[in-house]
Amino acid sequence: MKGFINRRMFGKLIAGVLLSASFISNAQAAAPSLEESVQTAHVSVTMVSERSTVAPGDRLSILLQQKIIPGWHTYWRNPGDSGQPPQITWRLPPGAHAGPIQWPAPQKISVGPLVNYGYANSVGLISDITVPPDWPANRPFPVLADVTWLVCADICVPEQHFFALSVPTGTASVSAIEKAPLFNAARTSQPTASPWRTTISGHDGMVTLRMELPVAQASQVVAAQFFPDDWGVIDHAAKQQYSVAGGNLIITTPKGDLPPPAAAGGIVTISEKSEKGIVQRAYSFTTTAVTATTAPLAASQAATNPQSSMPLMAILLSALVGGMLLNLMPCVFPILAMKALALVTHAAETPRRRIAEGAAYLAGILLSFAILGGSLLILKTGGSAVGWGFQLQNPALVAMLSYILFAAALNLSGMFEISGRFMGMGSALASRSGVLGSFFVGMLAAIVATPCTAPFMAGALGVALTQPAPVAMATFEMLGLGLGLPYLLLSLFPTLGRALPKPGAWMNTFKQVLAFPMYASAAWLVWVLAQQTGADGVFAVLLGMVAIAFAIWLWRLPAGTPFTRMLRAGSFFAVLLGSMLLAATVLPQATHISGMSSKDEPSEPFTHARLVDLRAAGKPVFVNLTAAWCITCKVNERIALSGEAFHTALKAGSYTYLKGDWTRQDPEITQMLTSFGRAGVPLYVVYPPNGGRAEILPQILTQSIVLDALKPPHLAVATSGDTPCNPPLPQPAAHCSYRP
Amino acid sequence: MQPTTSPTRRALLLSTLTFAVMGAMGTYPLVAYAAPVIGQSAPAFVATDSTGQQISLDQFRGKIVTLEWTNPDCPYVRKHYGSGNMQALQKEARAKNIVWLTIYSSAPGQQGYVSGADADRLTVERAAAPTRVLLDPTGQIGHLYNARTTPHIFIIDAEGRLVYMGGIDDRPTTSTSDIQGATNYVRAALGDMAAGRPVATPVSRPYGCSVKYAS
Repeated sequence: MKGFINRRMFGKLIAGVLLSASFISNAQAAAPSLEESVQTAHVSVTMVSERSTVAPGDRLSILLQQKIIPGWHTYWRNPGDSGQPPQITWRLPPGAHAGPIQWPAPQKISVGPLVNYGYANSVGLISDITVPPDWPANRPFPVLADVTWLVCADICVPEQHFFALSVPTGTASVSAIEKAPLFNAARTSQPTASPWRTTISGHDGMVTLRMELPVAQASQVVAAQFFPDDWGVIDHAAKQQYSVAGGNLIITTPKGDLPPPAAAGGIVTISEKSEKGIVQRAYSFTTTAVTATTAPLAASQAATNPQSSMPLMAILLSALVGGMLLNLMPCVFPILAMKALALVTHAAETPRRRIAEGAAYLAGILLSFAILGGSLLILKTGGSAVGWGFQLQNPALVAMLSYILFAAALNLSGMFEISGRFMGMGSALASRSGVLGSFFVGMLAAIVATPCTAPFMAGALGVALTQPAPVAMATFEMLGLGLGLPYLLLSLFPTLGRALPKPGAWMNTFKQVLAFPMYASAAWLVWVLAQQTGADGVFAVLLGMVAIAFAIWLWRLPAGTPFTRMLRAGSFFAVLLGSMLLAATVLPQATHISGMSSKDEPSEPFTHARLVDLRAAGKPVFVNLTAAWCITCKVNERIALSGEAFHTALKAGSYTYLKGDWTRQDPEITQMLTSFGRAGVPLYVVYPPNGGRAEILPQILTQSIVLDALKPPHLAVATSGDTPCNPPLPQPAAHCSYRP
Repeated sequence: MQPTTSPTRRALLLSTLTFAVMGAMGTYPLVAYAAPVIGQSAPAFVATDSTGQQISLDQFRGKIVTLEWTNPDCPYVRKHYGSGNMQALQKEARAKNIVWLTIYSSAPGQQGYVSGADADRLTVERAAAPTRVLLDPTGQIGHLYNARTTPHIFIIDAEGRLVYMGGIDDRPTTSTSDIQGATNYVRAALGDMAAGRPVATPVSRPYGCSVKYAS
């Protein structure tokens, strides 16, 4: 009926409704509130708790979800050219602590010619709150926050709301399952922490960001964008150029208003090809800085791309000098001793023959280096991770070398002679066998010299191996030239020959004395073999040496009749063959024992993953890449890397000591060497705490060098946290981020 | 060797020259928009002020000049004008014989675009005290200085060198309560210059709404 509800009744009805509504709302004020929403003119903002019940002492994630109307946007922590990121001022009970906002990866938003970094449509900002452990279990935990944000299209509107949540507490935390998809989406939109080494540098008004990606990933990159955490690093509106060189992703862009920073953090978004098409991924990182100029050559070679090159002349010259110095190294010295003896023996020969022998020696060296270098280059192009000295990573080759040295020592001891008759040639060719002998001795010298090249040659060899093949081969040959040059010069200049004593009976004694350095070298190679293959391998190669000695004795037996000659020859070859076969079968099966570190040495085996983990955790690391056959490494270890002082320094600085054993092939170690521009061991790197710049130590260590390098404190790079601070100072001593 | 250049050679030379010139022209926009540098000469300009007069930066050589980009509808500008902060700064500067130029770089149709008459009216309404109000609807001066926000402040010394660029203070908010405890970079810079010291903070982050350029 019309007029049933007349005015008075209507008034009473409204009053009744309002009264009950107030009762209801009062009741709800005391009830837990896990979510609160506000709808402004431009944004719908909701604050949500991840848990429906939280235990005292536990972490509580709170999500601030913004749904923005089309055409408008809110801002990232670095808003870009203008704007302001959302600010949450938490009002929490004493003892509770709120972490900073976990920012999702931003987008570039153009506002005319200016660029902002922010979010359109929807964004979820998560903050983690810790409930104090002494919070009474029955009292709900209040989460109050005064949130302000700026939302802009072409004009800007600041908005604000005071949120009040109340989360029940209990003995165990319970997740609010219906909220999980929201939180998952927000977390997925956050960037992944980058595990790769990233550096920033500035020059000529440009800032360059370099990120060392895995080579396979770097080749799939189709676009990349750098978002710095802080204002003033780059010109936000300028176009960024990216390039991929080796495994390095390089982004270059004009600098911002401030000088290029000492260190920077930020996000890099990379679009890459994948099975699903083009995929965009965001990575957050902090860098270590590389100053544009004054780093010394070795350090800058290591800290930047290994393809940074020395001029060609410098490479070749240092190869030559290195080769000459090689003559003094213990690996080469026995060979040189033999050649010196030959020089003395043949002092009476014609200059022509002497020069011929000197040249033959050099030719043998050059051929060996050509074969070695060529094999290395072929292996590299084939994809193997090998470095200089790779031949000594193969136990079979090491065994062969030790046999050769042993046999040569027996020769010097007088157990047998290599004469022209051995080849069935006439005495007229005895001189030629001298030349041939020199040639083979040269080859031997080159092979045994290779593990000792590192100290003089590391930089040049490393660079040479990254250059085109002709440059690399030229470098190897210059090394060989340096090695054979002293002897060649000796044979070329008769004046030096005149300085040598006249031949006599003393020569025989001298020759026998020289046998002993050779035996010692053979013993050293057996020791190397022990590292590579263990006791079984050592036994096999020692048996082989016994077999060789036996074969040589067989050979020396007087052979009257053709039958005994045949028997002798047969048994000789049989024994020789037997020893080879023994080595060949036993050695590959012999297990590798890493007896490199003694029990009380505080070292861990080096792996790339472990290094990345430690660096990501901000821990200091000392890396020692070494090999059993590397004499320089052994000497360094004895002098500088063992003993009380070193261990104390490691402990004082809380260094993790990573030791990489390159005695047998290890692609991870090869990769690490290559990333520092090196071709062989040793390599010593000191990583300071908190992601500071790595320091490369020289290859000849003294204790003071090592202790100085390990001395704490290293300047820790100030990381941006949730400490409030002022915009950047004119001298970028510390870098701050804005209060979230 | 030919005594005169052949037609082919001449054509080649001409094309090379053309390409070179085109290349040089192509880089010009980059040059034009390069950011000003502290310690170097501030970019010179000529502009029309709110009364229609032609004003050039050079005419103020011998005096300190402060440039202030503004947009009266921007919440950040309203923070500083609404509280009287900006007007106080302007009056302090004028008392020291410093030239204060307020610049409107909003494009026609955009927020903050004003005619000369409107600009003068706003000055009176806000009780502001600029020496001159410049109209830059094409955004030419704004681009010359890479002005990105309103407000954005630049200070030029008596010799024409740029000594400060950035925000008014270090509290990038819209709330007037943040003015009191903030470090006012403009006041600090002017104080340094008066005392003959180099400016302690020559660069700071400019905060505010974006300048409403045409494109």
